[in-house]
Amino acid sequence: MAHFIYGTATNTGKGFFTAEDRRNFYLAGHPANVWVIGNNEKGARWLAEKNGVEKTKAEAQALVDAEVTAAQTAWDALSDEDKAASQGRPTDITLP
Amino acid sequence: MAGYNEIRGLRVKYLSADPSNAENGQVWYNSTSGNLRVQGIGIAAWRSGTSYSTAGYGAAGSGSLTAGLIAGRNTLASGDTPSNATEEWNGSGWATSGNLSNARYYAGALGTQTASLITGGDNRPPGSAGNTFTELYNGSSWTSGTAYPTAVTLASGLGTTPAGLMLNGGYTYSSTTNEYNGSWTSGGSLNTARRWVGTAGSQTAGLAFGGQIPPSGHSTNLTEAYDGSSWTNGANLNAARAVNAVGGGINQDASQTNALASGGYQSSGSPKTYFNETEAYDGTSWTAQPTMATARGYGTGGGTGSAGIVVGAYTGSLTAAVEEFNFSTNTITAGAWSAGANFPTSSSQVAGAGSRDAGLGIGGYPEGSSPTGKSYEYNGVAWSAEATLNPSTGTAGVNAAAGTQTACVNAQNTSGGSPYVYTATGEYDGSSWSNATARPTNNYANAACGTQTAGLFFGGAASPTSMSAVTLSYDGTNWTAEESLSTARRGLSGSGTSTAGLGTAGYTNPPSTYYTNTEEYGGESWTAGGSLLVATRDGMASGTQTDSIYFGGGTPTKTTATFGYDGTSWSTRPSLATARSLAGAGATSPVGAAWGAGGYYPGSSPNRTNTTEHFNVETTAANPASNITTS
Repeated sequence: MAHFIYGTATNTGKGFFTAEDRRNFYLAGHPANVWVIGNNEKGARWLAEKNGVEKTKAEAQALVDAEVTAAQTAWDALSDEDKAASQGRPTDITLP
Repeated sequence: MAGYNEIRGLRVKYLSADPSNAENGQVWYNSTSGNLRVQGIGIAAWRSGTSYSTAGYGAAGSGSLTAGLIAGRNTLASGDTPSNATEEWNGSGWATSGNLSNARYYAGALGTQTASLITGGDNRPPGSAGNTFTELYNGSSWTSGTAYPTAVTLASGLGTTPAGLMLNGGYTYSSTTNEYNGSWTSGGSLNTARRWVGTAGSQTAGLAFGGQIPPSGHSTNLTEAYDGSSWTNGANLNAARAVNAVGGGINQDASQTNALASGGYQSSGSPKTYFNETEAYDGTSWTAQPTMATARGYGTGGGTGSAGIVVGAYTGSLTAAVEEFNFSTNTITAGAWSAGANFPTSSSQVAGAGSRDAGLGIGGYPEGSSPTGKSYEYNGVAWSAEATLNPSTGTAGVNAAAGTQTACVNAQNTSGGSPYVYTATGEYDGSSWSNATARPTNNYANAACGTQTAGLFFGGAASPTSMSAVTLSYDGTNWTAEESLSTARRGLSGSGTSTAGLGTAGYTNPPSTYYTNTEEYGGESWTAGGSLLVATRDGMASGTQTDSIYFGGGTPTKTTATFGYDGTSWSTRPSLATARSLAGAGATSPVGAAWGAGGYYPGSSPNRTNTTEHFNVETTAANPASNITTS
C-alpha cells in the first residue's frame, strides 16, 4: 500500500486541519495547494471533507513543478540588488 | 479473596452522582445509572513521539526513557551507509551530539546518556561486518575505549560503564558474553547461542530475550536471566522475534523482573515479517500489551511494563518515526500544529506580537506590490481591527516588533522601495499607531523581544552585505545601546523579555553562512546558549528564555521543522504543516499559545502564503471514570 495520498485542496483557514488531524495522519502542504496526506482512512476522509481533488503522485508533482518553475523564472528576472535582498532562488521540491 | 474494603480500607460508597473529586482507583456505586464505577483505570497505549533527525535502522540504544542515547545507524534502505550520528533523547525530543569516531550500525551498547559505551557493529564500507572498536561517551563526545576481545556485530549490552555486560551476538551467532569493568573479562555463556538480543538489568541481575538463532537467522522466543556468573532459562516470549532493541536497547529503566519487548523482525519466513506485537515481562511471564501503530524491525527501544519507546527502524522502508508506550491513569495527547484563520493578505515579513488569543500581525510584503502598511488583531479565530501603521511613513513595511496586542512598538520602513530605511518606529495602543522615537541605527532583518516599555531589538543588516550585532533597548520613550551580540547576523529570531531574552539562528553574507547559534540576554550582556539543531535563517520564535520554540525558516530550503528550548538545549517538536519563513509570530507568546501567520512559501507563485498555524502543546489528563462490568 502506498504511504501517501496526493491531492489539491484550498486552505480555508481555521479548522482546515486540526491538531487531531495532525496526530491521525501525515499532512504536509506544498505549492499549488498540493497536499501530501498519510494513506489511512482518516487521511482519505480529510481530503474528501475538504472538497479536495485526489491526484496521482506524478500529477501532484507536476503541479508543484509548474509553481516552482514560475517562481524561479520570476526570481531570475530580478535585478542583482533585489536578488541579494531576497530569500534566494526558489528551490525545486520533490514530493515524498 | 480480599474485598475492596480490605484492600482500600474503605467501603464502596452509594452515590446518586459521580463524585467531582474522585481519586484514581476509587470505586463507588452510582444509584442513578445503576453502575459500579471506578475512577482513572490505567490504560496502556502506544502513541507517536517526536521523530529523530535522519531515518535509518540499526542505531544502538542506551540510556533511559528520559535520558536516552542512540548512536550510529544505516541510512541506506538497500545497502550500507553507516552513520556516525549521535542523538540524545530527553523524554520529549531529540538533540544531536558529538559524532562517533567510527561510523557504524548494529553495534552493541550499554550505560547511561552521560556514561555510555558502544562496541563492534557493521561499518561497511569501507570496514567490515564486525569490529572491535570501543568508544566511550561522556554526555557530549566520544573517546576510544578498550577494544572488544573479538570483532562483533549485532551485540547487545546491559548495565553501566563501571559494571556492564556485552553479549557477543555476531553474524555466526554466539553464546559468549564479556563483562566490562573498565576492561573486558569473560562472563557466563548463554545457554543458547544467538544474536540481536533484547537485554535489561545489571551485570549481576541481567535479562536476555528473543533474537535470532542458527540456522539462517530463525527467530527465537527464549528468555534467559543472569546472576553474575551463569544464565538460567526463563519464560518464553509469546512471539519469537528479534525485538527492536539494537545494541541491547534503551534499557536503563528495565530490570530482570520488569522489561518490555516491542515489535521486531523475523527472517525465517517469506516475505520477511515485521512485528508490532508488544509484551511486558514481570520476572515470571510475558504478557501481551497493545500493539504499536507501525510494525517495524531493526530498530532500538526498550522500557518497562509501564513505559517504553521504539525508535526508527525499517518498515519496508526507512523511518525516523518514534512511538512511546505508556501505562497510565492519565491520557497523554501529543502536541501538534493546527490551522488558524487565514491572514488578510498573502505576505512575507509579517511582524508579530502577542499570543494566539490576543495577537497582532503587522505589515508584510505581498508579492509584486508595495508593503501593506496595515496591522490586524487576532483572537485565535479571526483577524480584524485593521489599522494603518505610523501615518508619517505612509504604507511602508515593518522590520520587527515587541509587545502585545494593546501595547506594541515596531521598527518601521520609511521607504516604498529599496534601499529601505528602518530608523522610524511606531507604537500601537490597541486601536491606532502613533510616532515613536526614531532608532539610532538603521538595521533591517533584525529580531525583537520584550514589551513596548521594555523592548529589545538586536542584530540585522545595514545592507545585504553588512551584518549588525547592535542591540538596542527601548523604555517606551528612548532607545539605549546595549552590549552587542557576539555574532553579527541577520534573520535571527527573538523570544523572551528584555531581561531574559533569546536570539536564535541567523545568516550572514558574504560568505553565505547559516547559523545554529543561540545567544541568551540577561539584561546586561549576551552569553552563549545551546545550539539549534539545524542552521537556519528567518525562522520564527515564541516563548521565554527557558521555554521557547523556534519554527520554520530557511536552510536555505523552507522548512516545517520545529524545535523547543528548555534553557539549556534544543530538541525537536512536532512540525508545521506548511513550510515557511519570515512569518508573523509573537516573541513573548507562551509556547502553548504560539502562532505563525503568512510568510514566504517554498517556491510558490505568488511566493507568499496567508495561512496561519497554531501550536498545541502536549497535554496530560486523568482518565475519566468508567463502569465496572463482569464481562
